[in-house]
Amino acid sequence: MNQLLETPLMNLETTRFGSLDVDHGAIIHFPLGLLGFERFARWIIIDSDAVAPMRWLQCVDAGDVALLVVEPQLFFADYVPTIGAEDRDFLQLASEDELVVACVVVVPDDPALMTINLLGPLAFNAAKRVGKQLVLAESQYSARQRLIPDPMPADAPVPVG
Amino acid sequence: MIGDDIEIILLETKGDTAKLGIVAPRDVKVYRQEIYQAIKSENIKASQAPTPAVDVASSLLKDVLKARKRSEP
Repeated sequence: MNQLLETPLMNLETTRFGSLDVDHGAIIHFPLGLLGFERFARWIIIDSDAVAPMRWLQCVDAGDVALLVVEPQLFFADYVPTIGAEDRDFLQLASEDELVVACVVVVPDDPALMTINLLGPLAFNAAKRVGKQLVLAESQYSARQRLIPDPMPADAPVPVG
Repeated sequence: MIGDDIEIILLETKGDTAKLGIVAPRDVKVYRQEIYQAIKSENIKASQAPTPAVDVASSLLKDVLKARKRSEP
């Protein structure tokens, strides 16, 4: 019945992907935006083998804004962001299964130097499609954690201590 | 005072620097601006990833995951 009232797909012109048909149900709402993108509340995740295991987080409110994100536990198995009661309410978490955590990846000109932001993870409720960028101020996590370890040259001096 | 329950107090002055203290209820989060700034700056940099580097980054990460799988028992 709703289909008569609203179109299920909206067209979005993007810089990276050209014209996209966006399903309203796929949109994740970040009511506070992301830090630096406070006015942009609607985002979608775009899977592409070309960037896997990363994914694109494409802004629906600005076609020219897309960020790479990755599931942090793939690379940092011990990573557990602490989510306070206030944030749990914000995310309307009824069960832990609804929670998805993704971290922003910065890819510079030299991709070997890419970093992941473990200090400000994106948390969202996969069922209710609401999200927030958390600030783990009390943690020791880095906003610029290297993802690719430096290669160890064979003749490198062994670090002492 | 900020609102009813947040108090800024001057702890110490030394030359031209001052040390401030913030007294707030436990549920009020007090963060340093630098933390927000760092996260904001990473978000903005992330939105400017050069496409050729992104392709290479993806292969590098795939290799890391593959190598890890191989080393697992």
